[in-house]
Amino acid sequence: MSLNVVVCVHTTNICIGNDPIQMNTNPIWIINPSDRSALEAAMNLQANYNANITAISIGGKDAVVSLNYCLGRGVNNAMHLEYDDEVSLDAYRIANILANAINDLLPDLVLCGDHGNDWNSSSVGPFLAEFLDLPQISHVTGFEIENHGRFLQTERRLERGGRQKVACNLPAVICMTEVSYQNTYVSVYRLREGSQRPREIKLISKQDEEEKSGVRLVEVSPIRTRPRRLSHPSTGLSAAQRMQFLMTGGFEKKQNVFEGPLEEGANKVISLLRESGFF
Amino acid sequence: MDIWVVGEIGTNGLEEGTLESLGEGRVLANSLGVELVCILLGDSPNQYSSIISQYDVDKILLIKHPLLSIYSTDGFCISLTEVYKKFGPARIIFSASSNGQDLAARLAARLHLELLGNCIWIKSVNDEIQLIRRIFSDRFQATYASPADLPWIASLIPNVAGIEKPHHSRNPIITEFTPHLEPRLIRIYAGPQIPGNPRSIAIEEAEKIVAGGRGVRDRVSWGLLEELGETLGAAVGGSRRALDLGYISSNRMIGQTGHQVKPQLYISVGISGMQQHLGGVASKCIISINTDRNAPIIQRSTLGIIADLHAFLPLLINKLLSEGRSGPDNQIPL
Repeated sequence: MSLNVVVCVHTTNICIGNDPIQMNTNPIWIINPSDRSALEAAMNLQANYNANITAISIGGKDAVVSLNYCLGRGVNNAMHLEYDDEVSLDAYRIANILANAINDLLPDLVLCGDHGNDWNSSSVGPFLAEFLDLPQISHVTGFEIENHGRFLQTERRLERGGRQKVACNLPAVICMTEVSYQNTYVSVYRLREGSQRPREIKLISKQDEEEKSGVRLVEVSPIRTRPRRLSHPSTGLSAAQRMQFLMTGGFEKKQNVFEGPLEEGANKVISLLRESGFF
Repeated sequence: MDIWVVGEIGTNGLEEGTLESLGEGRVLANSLGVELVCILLGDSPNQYSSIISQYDVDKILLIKHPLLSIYSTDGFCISLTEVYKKFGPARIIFSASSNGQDLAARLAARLHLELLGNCIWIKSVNDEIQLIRRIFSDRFQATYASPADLPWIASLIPNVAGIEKPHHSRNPIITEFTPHLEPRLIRIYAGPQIPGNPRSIAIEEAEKIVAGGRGVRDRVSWGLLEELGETLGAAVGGSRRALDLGYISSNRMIGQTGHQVKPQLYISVGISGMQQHLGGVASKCIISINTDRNAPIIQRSTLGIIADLHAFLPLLINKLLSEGRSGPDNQIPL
């Protein structure tokens, strides 16, 4: 069984200064953390199933950093989709370009990260799956390949620490979470060796993209806290009650302080837990 | 063009993110003068329509099919595509949960709609709709603008917008719809959703937390907190002091400089509740146990017990156990 695995990696800048669009003169490029998890998962497949791993990245000089890292880590092939104006690309266009390139590779499994740390996008994986017409499983914390490379068994992360077992037949697209695999240290020697390894370079022209516009970026600013929604207090309440209502966000908090016999205190805690459905 | 909010049904019923999205959708629908529609998918979503009715929606669309009993990207995406083609176009809001993010992106690609994921705010400004999301690890925020007549899909981060108080102000029209789903169209085999094990999950993910601080005398007393956590099925964390004393590891420290948590239940034991700690806690139900009546945490608590934890906790644990409920045994192992 030899699997053909494609891992999509993206480079992010962690030294962004005061304006993330006007790039800092001294950027520090790193491989996107959840993409690094995807890479580690792919390397696991290489070790266990003798998988052929192709790392693919889109961008300008920044993409070279991720590909060098992947080659240093030991992937078999690397493909650089060269596109200088990466800031103008949204997740839809990125997925479109990636899908065109990946289609020719006929992969058994496509791995990518589930979240981009830079523009906070979580959609490249599902977009890619749709363009490739493959099933997709996102927020994956771990997976196994069964049935001679034909069946994929995964565990997904849900809210509040919940988990779900999800399976599908290969080929498929899976999006790994950031913490799913422990990162392996890649030495400077390996990185330098990786940077000298050959890679396929494809120039992407603007005509290759599918045009799609409508929503536009108007401003990037320092964060401002958004006000939480408050329901309107009843006009029948006193001023103090209205203020309390507004300050508690509309939830009626019954502040209750108990000082007395411990037995009674314990009963109060239990009855509150019961009322709130925690016990 | 109406505003659609796609509701999410979790293991404990309707997810709170749905109610937040409904609030956001209501404000947007009012400012644009359009209707707010809530869409629920499942094998029997009818049971939730009474809850949804209390959140000011104009219409409720129940998409019913036995194959929608468990979330699968294919099943939900095919159903919503069919609904969109029949009742659309619309602007669709999802909660940015694991399933919401997954489905929103797949649906956007299938319907060729613009997608703005992980928004913190969707609002109408002049003739445009503004969608705001945090970028670069929450160091900046990006504001996107959409023309008022453009359909799009957006997902809203949970626990940011807040939930409006339920009230009955209008009677929504409830419609049922059965999509054309077949088992062969669903390529994903999804198992049941398993609640997280509080002992192993990240503290930010925990629904219930028991936290201790300076008031805990020694390691033996810390054991009482762990016992209480086990009894209630809650994760155990602590303040900076608990970390300094070696009771917890750094990944369990709660506060402004530690992990910021938003549990449903927060039990604080021997924590005074200075801003450095409470700045990292947002919970609807805080129970605090402290000897100091004037401790800041008492003022923020739903229930404050003025007692010595070393005497109170064993009594509370015994009472909880005598009620015949044991947290860890109820947890399904991962």
